[in-house]
Amino acid sequence: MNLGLSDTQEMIRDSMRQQLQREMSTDRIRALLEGGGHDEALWKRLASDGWLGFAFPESAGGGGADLLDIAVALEELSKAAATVPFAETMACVYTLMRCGTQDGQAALAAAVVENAGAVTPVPGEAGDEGPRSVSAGALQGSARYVDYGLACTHHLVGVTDAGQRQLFLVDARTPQVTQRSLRNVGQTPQSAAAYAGVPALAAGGADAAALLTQVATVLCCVQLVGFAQQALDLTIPYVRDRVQFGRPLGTFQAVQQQAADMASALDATRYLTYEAVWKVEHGTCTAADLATAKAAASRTAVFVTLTAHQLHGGMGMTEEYPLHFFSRRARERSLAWGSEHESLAVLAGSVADDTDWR
Amino acid sequence: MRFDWPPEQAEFREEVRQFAAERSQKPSFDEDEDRENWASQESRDNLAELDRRGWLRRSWPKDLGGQEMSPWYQFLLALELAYTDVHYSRRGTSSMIGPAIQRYGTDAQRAEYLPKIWSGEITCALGYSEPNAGSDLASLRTRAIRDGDSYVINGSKIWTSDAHWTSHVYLAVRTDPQAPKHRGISIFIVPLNLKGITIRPIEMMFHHRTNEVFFDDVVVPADMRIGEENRGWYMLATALDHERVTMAINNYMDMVHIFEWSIDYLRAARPDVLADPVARRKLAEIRLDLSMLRALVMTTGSVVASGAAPSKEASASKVWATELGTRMTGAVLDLLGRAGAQVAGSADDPPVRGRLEQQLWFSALQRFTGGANEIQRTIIAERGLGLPRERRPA
Repeated sequence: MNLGLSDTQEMIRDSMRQQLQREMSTDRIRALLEGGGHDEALWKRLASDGWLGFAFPESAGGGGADLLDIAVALEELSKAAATVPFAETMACVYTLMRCGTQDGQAALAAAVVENAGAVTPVPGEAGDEGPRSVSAGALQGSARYVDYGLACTHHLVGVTDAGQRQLFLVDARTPQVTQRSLRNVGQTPQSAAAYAGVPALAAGGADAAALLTQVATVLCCVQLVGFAQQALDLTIPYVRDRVQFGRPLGTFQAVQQQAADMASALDATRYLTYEAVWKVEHGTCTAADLATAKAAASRTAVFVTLTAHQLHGGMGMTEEYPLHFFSRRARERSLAWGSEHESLAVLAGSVADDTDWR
Repeated sequence: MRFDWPPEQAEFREEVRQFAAERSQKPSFDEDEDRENWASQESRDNLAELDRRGWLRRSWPKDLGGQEMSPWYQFLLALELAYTDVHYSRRGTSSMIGPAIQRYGTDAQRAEYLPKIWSGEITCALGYSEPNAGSDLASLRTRAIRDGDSYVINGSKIWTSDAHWTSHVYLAVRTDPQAPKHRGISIFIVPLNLKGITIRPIEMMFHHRTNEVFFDDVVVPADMRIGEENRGWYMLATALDHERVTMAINNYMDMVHIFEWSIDYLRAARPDVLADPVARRKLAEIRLDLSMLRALVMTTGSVVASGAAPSKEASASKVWATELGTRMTGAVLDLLGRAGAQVAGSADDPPVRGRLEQQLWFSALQRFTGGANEIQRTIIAERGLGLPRERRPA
């Protein structure tokens, strides 16, 4: 048991953080959101700095990152409100490199490492339009709520056939894929997609499909932890400096107590999130573990960002101040990959029978 | 980052589990029985055996009879013993007073007290609170006046739980009334059979006894003072941080017990409730909160293991555990409807033999003992998050 970062993880955190500090500004984020697009320039930069090969095995010329390494990098991107499909792409890469088909792995390496492409998971879960089917190597059907669907060169699409889930890789730029842009509360790029006989490469079986859901869910938790952390990190100096009634807001007990509750909820959620990441990496993450982490992350990120708004007052609600990037994205990600309610429903299913949870 | 135990710690945990399984006392659902268990010869034997195996001091420095191993050993030991409800004398005496004497005592005091603490011969109540010094502990007024080789103590303590059966009280007194309030306090370890000490019971609303302790011209030899004169507050602050770690572990395991007993009870007595999706959803929320508490307790342990003093983490665990205690017991009672109002002694078998109701009030009490939760949140904000201190009257 050791909650400290390894030397490698510290290096990952620091180099990602430094690069983002150089590159990111609130003006840049705002301009992107107004255009409804993703940060192509940053994506290219990540590609040229080797981040896209990060999760490919060293034998394939990649960085050999494990899921914790990916999580550490992703938390930094989340804290900077970077608008790039990093979580999506890494979830697909990590999954297929662990248990994808050889063809799938090769196609992915060509798309992501060689051509700086991006991939998004289209899982085939509840709320999805489905049903989708593949015959003679062509995918037919549709999908709702595809994160960064238009920004990604490829979609990794879940298809259920005779009760078996499989993953297919499709090139999203072909004319047989049409997408409508959606607007969500997070102001992040999203689309609804229709697949009209697009060539589909068998990329993974049922085990890959199951792993993809786990990986994408825990990475979503990491994003939520990042948003909550940044909201707290904005709040502390704000209440330390802002003076009312002749004294800093942070000396008022009513303010202190709310800040304390933000920090405690975040400490607990950070632990559960990284524990779930670690368990996925080691193949020991149960459905209850996953649901616990996601319910905690969804609840905490919304609680912490809304409390941050309360402690900021009017300033925190302005377009100019960056808090809203994080509260909006926290709200959106809290609903993705299992909302608090959906996750608790999973937990409710086994609550009377689970034994090894303490 | 890693979330598993290295093989030697996993093995140790397994050994403790085995020891605990052999010696576990059946969970007592009765406060009187509970008190007897903690004071019994059996629990002294358990303590002596734990020390004989070298488990109590695995994490201690070598020159004090320890093995200088990771603090996680101490943590795992406390966790497993709390889960299986093995009584080993008064828990706090070995986990809080022992380390304090080790750190601040003289060689003679270490030789005198430590073996007796490990054997269970010495047990301690905590003599901190006074009628006018509760949350504001540093304003305590019980006086100790130096008189040659002795001190003469006058004053009174309140909420001195266990003082009616422990051998000693670990006493905070004022030795310099002229100094600022934090700088005039000293600590003594005082036998409770000295002349001039009177113990009076206070019965609490949930069938729990605590005490008032009065000191009238009690003559205490100067060598019973632990640490430097007037430096007691700083020893106390460290002890309170460690108390919160112990509390965090014990509170967590209390919560785990209550949850497991409640599920067992529902399965046997009210399968209809357990089958109800709305009720299960409520239980799932409690499970989530328990996981949050486990996360805070482990985070606290990891701070201790890194060699730092736990402060905001232990406070967060304490706040979360005690507030979860009222929430959880309340939720289960609520699921039961009118049956939830039956208490121990009722002809109608009460839920979990009355333990839920008892824990409800005990948790309500724990929200303000060991440093009220309001104070804990202030600690988190000021010490943990670096918010500016409120100007407080001296």
